[in-house]
Amino acid sequence: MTTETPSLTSDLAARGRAAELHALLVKPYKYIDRKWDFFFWATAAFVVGAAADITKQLFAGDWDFWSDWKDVQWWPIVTPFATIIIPSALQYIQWLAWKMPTGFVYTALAFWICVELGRFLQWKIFVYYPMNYVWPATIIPGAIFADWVLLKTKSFILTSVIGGMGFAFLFWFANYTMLSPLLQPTTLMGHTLTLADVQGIEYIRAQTPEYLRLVEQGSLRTFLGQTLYVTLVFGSTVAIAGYWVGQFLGRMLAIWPIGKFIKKV
Amino acid sequence: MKRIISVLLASAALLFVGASPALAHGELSQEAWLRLNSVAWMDVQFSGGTPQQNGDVNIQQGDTFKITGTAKILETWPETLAAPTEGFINVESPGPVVLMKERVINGVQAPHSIYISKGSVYNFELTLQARIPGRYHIHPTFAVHGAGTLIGPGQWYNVTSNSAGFTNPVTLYNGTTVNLENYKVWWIFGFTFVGFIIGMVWLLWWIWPKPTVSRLAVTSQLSVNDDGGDAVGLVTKRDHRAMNIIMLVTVLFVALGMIWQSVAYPTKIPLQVDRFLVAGAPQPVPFATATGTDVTLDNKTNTYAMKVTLTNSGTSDMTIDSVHMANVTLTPTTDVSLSPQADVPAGQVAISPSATIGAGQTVETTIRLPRAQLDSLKLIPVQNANSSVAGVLQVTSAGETQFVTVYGTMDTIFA
Repeated sequence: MTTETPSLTSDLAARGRAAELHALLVKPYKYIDRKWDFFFWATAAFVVGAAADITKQLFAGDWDFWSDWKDVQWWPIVTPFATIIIPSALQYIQWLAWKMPTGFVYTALAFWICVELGRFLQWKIFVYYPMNYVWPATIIPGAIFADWVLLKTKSFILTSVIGGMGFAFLFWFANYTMLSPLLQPTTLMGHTLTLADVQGIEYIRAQTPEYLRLVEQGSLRTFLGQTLYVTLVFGSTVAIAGYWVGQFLGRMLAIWPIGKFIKKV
Repeated sequence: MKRIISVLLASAALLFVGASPALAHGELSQEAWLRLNSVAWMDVQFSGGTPQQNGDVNIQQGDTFKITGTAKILETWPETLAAPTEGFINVESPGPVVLMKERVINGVQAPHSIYISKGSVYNFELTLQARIPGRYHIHPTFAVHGAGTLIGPGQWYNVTSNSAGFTNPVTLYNGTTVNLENYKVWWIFGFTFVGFIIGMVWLLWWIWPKPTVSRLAVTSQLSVNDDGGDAVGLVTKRDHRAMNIIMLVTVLFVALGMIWQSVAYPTKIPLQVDRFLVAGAPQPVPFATATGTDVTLDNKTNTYAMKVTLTNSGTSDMTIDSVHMANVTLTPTTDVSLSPQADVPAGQVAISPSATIGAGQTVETTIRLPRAQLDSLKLIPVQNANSSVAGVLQVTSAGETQFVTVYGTMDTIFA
């Protein structure tokens, strides 16, 4: 006669439970096939991309439109905050529903398609701005990092801190590479300026006067002149706050109402 | 299904329908009191290109033309707006169909905004280059922080195509010349596209082989911080390994980009903000003063007139050359037969008793304004809560020109 220890019993129970769940996972569904998935991911992409773009435009507007707004102080603070909100909401929804660490990446890709297409059609084709002046920033590297952190930690709190900070840092480093050729100096009207400044001066931006640009304006730049480091730390802190704004949207405006509805049904 | 596809295709087709060029830039949308009391435009001239009989100017793509003139920030600047301290003289056009190649204000090259002050006069010279073929209405503009953009007189330009195409060469600090029309477009797009591909690999890893419906049945039985581990199979060790690799590739991709840019573009500077004070244009010792005593819009006689007490404190006769109201310039009529009951023709004013004031004299002057014209330009503050009317009298004496601001509140006589 053998006696099982309590830990072994619970271990066996856990294994049995895991096997049950695994069987449920691989169970074929007769009426809902892969076409559903395809249409879901493809059609939702435009809704998600538009939501991300609208949120970005509400909070970061011009910073993402013009190369001569992409400064070292405000751009890395405002834009990560504006662009982390919707990915965070999607991350919560997709992790909760499918345990897929894809919310950030899915949103970033959908956002990329919508913004690149929109920028080309609306700004290049319709109103003639060169694409090297109105190129959109990318959030994809930061999105991959944030989803990776969730996959590793399975914690939204840790993802908000580590992932949010990484998202903001990677935003700067990924986009600075694209901005760098436009920061080369040149001379216009007797003044030393960057190529990006020249774009802003020469390519008429009617109804957006130059004085509206916020370039290194404010007290953050007083920290021994090390604006970038201070900005990145501050920007990543703000991104953490943005992450929780997104979590609120995901939890309270998406999952919670659906849960109430399903309970009612 | 066919209907849905048709609607989708029609919607997609709309994306490629070109927008017609703007025919006006909202210059009439701003209220009369704002335009009248903020900035007055004087002697705006358009040069370059070939004037046509219909008033348009033909210019070839790539050629340059100039807009010159004077703008005065009026002493009557409305109290309801922030004080004018920062301004930007630019042009209004339907997008960047022209390029701003040079901006000189009071003799100073000013690429960015300038610091300004109330009552100052700014002579500007804008050099523009035609870029996109088409017919466009181009205006000089004076944007003032807190007030918005005040629009000057406009001119139609026909930009004709240049068979050689259009380039915008800019010489860098190291002597290299680049075409700003497309400089590094493919580098910028290519870099971001590589990031897109990496992201797609990440996404497809999850969504391609893993159906969402069957996962929901499992995840609903797990807590939010639990993925069930390898045994359940929602997230496997293989998934972790693949994601680690993609994460590593992403970091390497970003790092290589940073290394590459530091090697390729070793000399960079931050974005520049070259804003500075441009002093108002020097003005002669004042020889004229003008006080508006009455502005009347008479609906019974269909006339619009301003009474002004004019004093010539100089030693020579003084003549009113023109009256400037917002972006309209009016010159004294030469039609002596003009009836006192008739409206003044467009572009003119009728001054009585005379447009000339003798040295040392003070004269009560009536300036009749072209009601129909100002009405059509929405420059009469009817139905405005603020009925302030202001303008600039351009007076000359002994070869000197003075811009005298005159103002009053409008009274209305109803029919």
